[in-house]
Amino acid sequence: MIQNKVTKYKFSVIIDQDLCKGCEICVEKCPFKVFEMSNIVGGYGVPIPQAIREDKCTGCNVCVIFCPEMAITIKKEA
Amino acid sequence: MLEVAEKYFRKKTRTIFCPGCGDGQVLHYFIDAIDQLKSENKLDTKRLVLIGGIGCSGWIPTYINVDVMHVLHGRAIPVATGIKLANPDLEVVVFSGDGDNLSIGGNHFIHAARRNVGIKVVMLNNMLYGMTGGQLAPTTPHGAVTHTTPYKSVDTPFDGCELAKTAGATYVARWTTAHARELVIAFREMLLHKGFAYVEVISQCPTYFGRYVLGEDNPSAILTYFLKNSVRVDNLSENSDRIGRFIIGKMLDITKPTYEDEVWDQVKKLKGVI
Repeated sequence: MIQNKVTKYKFSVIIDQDLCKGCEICVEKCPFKVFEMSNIVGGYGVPIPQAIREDKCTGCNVCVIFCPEMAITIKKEA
Repeated sequence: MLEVAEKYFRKKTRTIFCPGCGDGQVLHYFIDAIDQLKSENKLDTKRLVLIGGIGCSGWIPTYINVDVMHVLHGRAIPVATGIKLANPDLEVVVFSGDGDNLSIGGNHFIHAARRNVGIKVVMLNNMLYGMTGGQLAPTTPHGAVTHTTPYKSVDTPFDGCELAKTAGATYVARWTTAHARELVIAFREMLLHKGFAYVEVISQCPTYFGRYVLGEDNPSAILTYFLKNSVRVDNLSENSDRIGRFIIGKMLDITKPTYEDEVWDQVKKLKGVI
């Protein structure tokens, strides 16, 4: 039986402020433009991105794969 | 910090690399590969020894919580050969850059490949000397403007994969940092391979290669440039354009008797054990 019910997962994107160097790879690689550069200064001393459109995240992990500092983690919430 | 990184790092720390450097990505992919192999019980991290040469890429192994040596410029492969000969049970992986491996250590590299020593070499190719300020390296493309060639380079670049194949390596592959999954698979195959394995990674250097050679310092744009200009070795024909292109893929995967096996067979025979 086919259920006409679409389960929508919520994902929370966490950026480690101490590790991020603000290289903007995640900002440009994200297919849904979740990230945007902010005025917040991270531990490295440069402005870091923030996940402002977190509700659009599909958990594809492109940002996690390409982040050179391993600073991004994505958690799946039911 | 990522869970897999917390598991294998010595301590939670920022890397020394420039923002957007490919070395951090290679560190991530390598940790992914050893994590996969460890969960499949194919690799014991207590048997893993990592050797780092001189250059930015020589710092990659120092973050991983296994036995690490940081050795003389260009002499990473002789140290690795010594470790492998003394204890053939160990899995020795060398991380070096293009200047370390093809310029000052070029002779060690071809002779290790010729003997088929069972070590693994990961060469990060950023196409110039990144740590010292962007000078001409043996892998710099023809016609590139660098700090030491302000009127364009007239040198023909070195092809590390062709050199390794010709010298006698038994596993040869080349990928770019933009090919994440393929690189993790290549690292897995490299660690499981018996014999001299060589993986070349075309890595972005936004600070010097990007700014001065490409005229583009955005790391994401350089990754896109790698994707657009790379050709798979399977799709390569005789008359396809090779100039300015990165030929990627698995070039060679064969088995040959390894150096340490033959040496130890001889030692045992002379001692009268066999």
